[in-house]
Amino acid sequence: MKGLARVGNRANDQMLVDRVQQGDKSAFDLLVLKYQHKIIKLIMRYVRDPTEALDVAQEAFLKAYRAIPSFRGDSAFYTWLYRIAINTAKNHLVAARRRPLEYDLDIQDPEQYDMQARLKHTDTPEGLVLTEEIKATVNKAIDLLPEDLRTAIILRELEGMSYEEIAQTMECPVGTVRSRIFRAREAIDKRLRPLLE
Amino acid sequence: MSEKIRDQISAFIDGELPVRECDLLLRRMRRDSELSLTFDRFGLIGDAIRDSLSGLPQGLLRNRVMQAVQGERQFADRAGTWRRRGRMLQPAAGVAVAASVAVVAVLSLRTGDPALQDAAVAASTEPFAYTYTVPEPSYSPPVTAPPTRLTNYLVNHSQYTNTLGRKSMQMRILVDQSETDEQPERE
Repeated sequence: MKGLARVGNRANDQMLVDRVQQGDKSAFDLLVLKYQHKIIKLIMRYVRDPTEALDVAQEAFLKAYRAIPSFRGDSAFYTWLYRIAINTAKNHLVAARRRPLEYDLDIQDPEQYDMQARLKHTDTPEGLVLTEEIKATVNKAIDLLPEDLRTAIILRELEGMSYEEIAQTMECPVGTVRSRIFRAREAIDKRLRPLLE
Repeated sequence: MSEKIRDQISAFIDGELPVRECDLLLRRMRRDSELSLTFDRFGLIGDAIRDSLSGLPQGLLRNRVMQAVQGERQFADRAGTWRRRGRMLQPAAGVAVAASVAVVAVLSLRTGDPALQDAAVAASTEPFAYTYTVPEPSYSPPVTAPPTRLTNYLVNHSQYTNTLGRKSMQMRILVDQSETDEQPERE
């Protein structure tokens, strides 16, 4: 049944893109929320200064918003956004008459970047404390989760498994997987919220 | 905010929400900023687990981007503006046609010119339509220099070339001239 079909991550983004193209700015807000950290981290590989990186990230998102009417979904939205962010960062450096910090990144391959980003973690002094607090809070909350919830959220967030794959791994129905992941997020969110308020 | 909607947000983040539920959820998220914050925090949890937090204050980039986006004109507005303009111009075009018909009618009555009267009647009864007459295809042969003029030019030019070149050019002129003499004249 078509109505019960899961949309998938790429189709999810495309759905949001379609809405932006129809004039729904709040859909773009969700795309920003979804990719803000990835884009900031990506740009900070080129622009170390956090204030500059923030400016460049803002410019990249704004460029993406302006160009979104021409986005046809030939590639994944994040791949498209990734290229815009890279080009914006490079243009920023050229304008500032500075050389890029990184040359070894394959700008066509977001996955390759993600791998390298994990190896070369960069933090800024301003956000370091909060970032560490968030990570500590989330890790502590995960440790306190019942095992079935912990396994479900880890398989989803770290391994990137679909609900179907997790259901097969954990030998339970897909609905149970969905419920476990949600309950895990709720439990972590309960501990995280005071930190962010 | 109900638990059911938060559960939907969780599934939506994972791309696992059924299509039919996505539309309603997105509309709800558009109206309720608390739902967007939940979407944000659930995403943050994923980023923290994957160790991919940016290190910048939470929400700072999002606020700046969305402030800038709010200043942008909406795509739908742009298209709508042109549609509205088109709709507004339709009655104006009708008025312009009616006015031109009236002018022709008044002029024809004053002058008593039957041709103008016929034109006015035809214009007022016939539906307005753009007409375009396809022009008759016409062929005119390209203008060529008279052979004598060309010959003179080549002979003058050959004075500045070597003997061999001059001979070959003169030979060509002779051949060309003989060919034109052999061809029957057109028309």
